[in-house]
Amino acid sequence: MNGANAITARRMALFTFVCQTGIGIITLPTALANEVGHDGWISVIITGLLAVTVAALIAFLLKKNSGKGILDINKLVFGRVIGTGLNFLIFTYLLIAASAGAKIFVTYLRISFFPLTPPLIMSLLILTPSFYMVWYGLKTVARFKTCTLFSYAIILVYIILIYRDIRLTFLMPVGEAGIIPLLYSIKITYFSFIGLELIAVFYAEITDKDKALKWHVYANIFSMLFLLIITAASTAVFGEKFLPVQSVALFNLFRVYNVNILERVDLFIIASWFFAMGCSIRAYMMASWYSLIKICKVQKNAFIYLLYIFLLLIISRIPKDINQSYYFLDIINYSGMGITIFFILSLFISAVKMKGGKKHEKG
Amino acid sequence: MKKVKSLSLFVLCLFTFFISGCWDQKIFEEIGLALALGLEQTENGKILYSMTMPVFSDEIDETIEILSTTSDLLRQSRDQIRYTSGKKVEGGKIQHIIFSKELAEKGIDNILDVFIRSSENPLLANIVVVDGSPLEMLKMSRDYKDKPRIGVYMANAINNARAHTATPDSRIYSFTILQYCETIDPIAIYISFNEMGIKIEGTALFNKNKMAGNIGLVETGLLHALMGEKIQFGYYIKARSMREEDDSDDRGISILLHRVKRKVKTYVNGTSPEINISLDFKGIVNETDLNYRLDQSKDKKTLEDKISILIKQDCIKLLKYLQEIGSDPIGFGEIIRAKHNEYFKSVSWKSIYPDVKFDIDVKLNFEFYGATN
Repeated sequence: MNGANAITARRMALFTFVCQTGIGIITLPTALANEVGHDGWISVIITGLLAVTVAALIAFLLKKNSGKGILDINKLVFGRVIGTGLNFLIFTYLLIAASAGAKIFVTYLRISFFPLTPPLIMSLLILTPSFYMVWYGLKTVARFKTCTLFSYAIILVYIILIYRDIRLTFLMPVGEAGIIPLLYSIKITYFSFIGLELIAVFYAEITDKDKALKWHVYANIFSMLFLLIITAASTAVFGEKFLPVQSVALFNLFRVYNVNILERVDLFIIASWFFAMGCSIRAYMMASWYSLIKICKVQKNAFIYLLYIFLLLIISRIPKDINQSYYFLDIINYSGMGITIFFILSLFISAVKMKGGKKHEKG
Repeated sequence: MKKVKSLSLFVLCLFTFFISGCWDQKIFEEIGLALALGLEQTENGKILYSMTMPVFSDEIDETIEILSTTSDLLRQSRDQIRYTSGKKVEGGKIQHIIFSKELAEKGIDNILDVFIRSSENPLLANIVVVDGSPLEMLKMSRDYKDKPRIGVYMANAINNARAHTATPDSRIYSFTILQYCETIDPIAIYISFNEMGIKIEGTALFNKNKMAGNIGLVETGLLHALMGEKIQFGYYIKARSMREEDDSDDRGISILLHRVKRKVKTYVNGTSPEINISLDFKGIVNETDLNYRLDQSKDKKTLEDKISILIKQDCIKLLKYLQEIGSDPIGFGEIIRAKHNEYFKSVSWKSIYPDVKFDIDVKLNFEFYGATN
């Protein structure tokens, strides 16, 4: 266990929570309004319960696997060559996820503040703190996520402040969308819970593994509650017909409160939310860099790191407009669902056939 | 490790150059802040776009600069104005969007799109309808020598009226939300102007996107009560309308209605929906010369009941007017949609709305009656 990467189960939970909610929440209310109208909040509850179950299953299976991370388990289950190949695919997914996140972050920045500033300059500007922190390891990245709690607190206070703009009738009648569309919408809502699989990558670094299951479940419950509050509030403020035409529903929600003297507060709140968005991207950056080091079996190397940064920036430049960025993100989200299933299968095979890696160790 | 630290530090220092030279920077001295925006229709169907910007120079006598142009699109108009003002006009601090009554009656439609789409624009600007030409009003405001700049003057007048529920809290975001929701009609601030100043007239009522009518100050207070929102307005009753003796010299009574509890029950069993509204007002007696001993419970109750009947009559009159012009700002359509969704889907609400039967129950309680009985 590397000291720079060692974290507690509680920090891992915060890591997962921020990773899930930082970016996913911005467009979730719009996506759900398109699918199930004003019943998006029901979809969040259903999917949240599913995500908690999946998260518990992953954490449980990890517990049964001698404290190893998924990268080691893959090698044990599938052999060195195939296992390394699969690990490389995991790295590729994580790297592309970080790049897609960076691209969408820049897109939101351009929509909100800087429409004319060149994206490359902004990418470098917003990613520099991440490059710095990721270099110093998982412990640094996870600790910094505590700062984002301030952003979450601000948003929750803001939701209370706009209570006069909330129309509960906009959430009624409950369940109008019907069961089939609600079940179909689980796929879209689940995108916001992607990030729950990262515990499998870092599991070997968790110092108090006996608490990992409990905290991982908590992380997903908190994600569900946060997504539920934002989705319900956005729908109750904007209504199911205005919500689908918005590209950044959360940021528009910040534009409706009038404060004496300051008048508009959206700029301040959006700026504070950039902390959470940055941390969300950084989680995938950390996971991909950690995977790369594990796969290559090398110590931290400045040259490889620069190469990695270069690769990340290049990939983030692939989408040329906002539609392509969303399309790119969709591909990542679908891949994330596939990766989660693959993790569960791999962990299950390892836990059942190889008795949690013990057999292999003995051999 | 040292190399990485040095490199990171160098990169961070390098970026400070980019931050200070940001592509999207706006230097205060070079920009013109539009505070009020007027929109009206020209004879050839285009939109006449006018705006005021404060002038901060000591060398210029005028306190505001008024600019106008015509085009089809608001953003096009702003850009055209930039070429004549000599400043980079920015709309981030716009406080009022003033529609001419004529344009509002033709329909506002998607005119507000640029405010929603561009996040630099505020969604908190007031939506105002003026009886007349906004450009004429802005020009006339130059003669209001005893008033502050028009933008500030209007903001003060609107805020004061809003505090006394004499005009609605209608802003770009709330107006647009209601435009989209289709089950609650939007409302806007209604004003007029003359050589002396501007005057808050009450509320402009819309039927979907088109202005369909307007109501006065007290009716706006009652509208807020029917909407279940916070109220605080004066209600004035002439002695004669209380059916006091015809030859009485009494002038009447003034009360401040400052709290209301609203309950709405809807029934859709018959051919047309029935809506029961219960309004429980709390009031304070401000002024009266009627012959009632308010410290006597019986007298107080008699007066409360008489005024309740008058409020009820006014509410019925208001609801009838709303039905006549097809405007549903209270959101009865929204309540029916939420509570009787199957019925709502089976009818066209706008065609049913004029036939809705209302039953209103009004209660009034004087919490106190000042320092005299």
